[in-house]
Amino acid sequence: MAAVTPDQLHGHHGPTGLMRWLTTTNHKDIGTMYMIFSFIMFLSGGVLALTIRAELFQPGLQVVQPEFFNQLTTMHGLIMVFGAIMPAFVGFANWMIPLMIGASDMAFARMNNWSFWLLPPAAILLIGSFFVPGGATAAGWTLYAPLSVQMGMGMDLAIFAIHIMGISSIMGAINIVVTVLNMRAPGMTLMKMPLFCWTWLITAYLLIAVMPVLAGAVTMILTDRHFGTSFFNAAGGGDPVMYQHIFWFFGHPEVYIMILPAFGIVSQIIPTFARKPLFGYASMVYATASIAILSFAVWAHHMFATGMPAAGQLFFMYATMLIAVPTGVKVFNWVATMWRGSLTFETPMLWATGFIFVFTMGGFTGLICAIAPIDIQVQDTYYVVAHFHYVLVAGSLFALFAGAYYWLPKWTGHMPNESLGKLHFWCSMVFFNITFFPMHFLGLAGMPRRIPDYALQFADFNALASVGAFGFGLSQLIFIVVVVKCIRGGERAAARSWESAEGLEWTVPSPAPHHTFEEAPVVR
Amino acid sequence: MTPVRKQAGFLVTMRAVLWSFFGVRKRQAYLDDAGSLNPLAVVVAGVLGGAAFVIIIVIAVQVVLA
Repeated sequence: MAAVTPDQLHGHHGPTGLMRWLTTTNHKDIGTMYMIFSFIMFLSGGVLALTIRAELFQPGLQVVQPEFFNQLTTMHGLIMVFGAIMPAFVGFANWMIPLMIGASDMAFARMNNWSFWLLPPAAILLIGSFFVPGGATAAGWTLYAPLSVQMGMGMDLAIFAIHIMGISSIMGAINIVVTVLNMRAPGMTLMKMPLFCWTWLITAYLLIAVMPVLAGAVTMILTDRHFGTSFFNAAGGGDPVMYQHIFWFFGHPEVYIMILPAFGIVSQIIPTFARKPLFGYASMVYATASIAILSFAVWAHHMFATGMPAAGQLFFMYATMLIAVPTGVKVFNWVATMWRGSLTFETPMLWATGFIFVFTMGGFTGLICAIAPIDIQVQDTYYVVAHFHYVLVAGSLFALFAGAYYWLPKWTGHMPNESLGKLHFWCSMVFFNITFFPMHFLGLAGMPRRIPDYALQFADFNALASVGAFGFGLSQLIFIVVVVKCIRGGERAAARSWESAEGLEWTVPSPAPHHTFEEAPVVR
Repeated sequence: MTPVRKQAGFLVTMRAVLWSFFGVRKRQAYLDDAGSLNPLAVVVAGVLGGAAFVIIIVIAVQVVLA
């Protein structure tokens, strides 16, 4: 059947202008809004990061005061995790999952609208907290008690922002689960489903499982602050360490929430540009499920230095090292897919291979951090900062860029500019490593994180990291140019924009019409 | 006529779940699983597998500390 009926090509017939975007229930519109929102938050969090790096360019205090520096590190983390990475993946899910499974829209289209429109108020609360008395929360993105119990009203705004973003995430996750399980086109069995949909299905279950835990944790902070409870107040019989357990029971699956959809994107791109089917599709599905299950049993590896019995340390150390097995299976399968393939390195493939290279480095440093005696040495040093930026920037962010370049033709109807895309990739890759690789050395030499001043012996690597950070930040402006050029014109994209791309999304015209698959396609 | 789907037994379900912990599965076995596994049984087997995973690590830790 035809994927698009003629009247669908005429676009939508609802309100126009601002009201179109406020009232839209169309998955493509909502996906676009998610991505624009997340990119704005990415730039906002990036500005905070660059202020941090400007301060750390030299020893001593030059740019900001220590109290404000702590606000910057905290808000950078919160904005990037909850405002940039997570909504960006939800944007991809909104745009692509219905197209990939042959559904006409998401299952709960109005709830989808609400999921998105909860985010801007949350962002305003979060960023607005800089301007209230006492400034934004400075407790670190983990919001550890007792710091978070003692902060000013910026902390309350952050708590409410997290509540709202949590509700948005849960609603988004429910929508994805129901859409994937109930709205697949005839013949699109689970075992035929693109891996991106599989990874998002499993991620959505993770979100539903752990976002309420975070909401509970921050609500307990709120009641400790204002309603006389003592959940985390030792003076009142509470336990601040309990906060860490609750937070990381959310926090570790959260790491996988931010990386599993990235695995899905990379698993779509590599087969296209290797011109081979994904090696070990079944293993990839099983490995994703395995990672999701194991992610609930490793949380206290974030807390080795907090103090726990040797048996506890060994348990979490062994469990964490075992989770590397399914992750290793994935990396192996991507490499095996490329092995003897007819490889070409268009921009999406460059980002995807770059992802494998740098994400694997982050994975290995994660294994090093998993070893309890080593972790106690590197805890709260720049080694940990280097590790999680290798996973979240080189992992999640690189995969997001890979996906954006891959599906831009479907979204805009024009091919992205290859030269600019490649320039964006190489600048990002080089500057990313200039920024974060020296942080391993800084951490091993003992430089603590979240500190605005440092001893003189750390000066050279810090200066290098700061130069790299500004280079990396400026490189992202290239992406804006690519997207704007792509929206305004350029080489027309065919329905199947990449030679060997497989999947239902490539059967609809580029740009994808406002309504697709109103009549479900049949998958054979 | 629709082919009758054979429901997988407990051991087959457990085997599929345990393979998922390793993250590797042959395509044919995966196709068989997809055709025969009961999702509810998979959830129960997953919880059992998770509990077994925790117990095995706890035993390993006790052995190391003994």
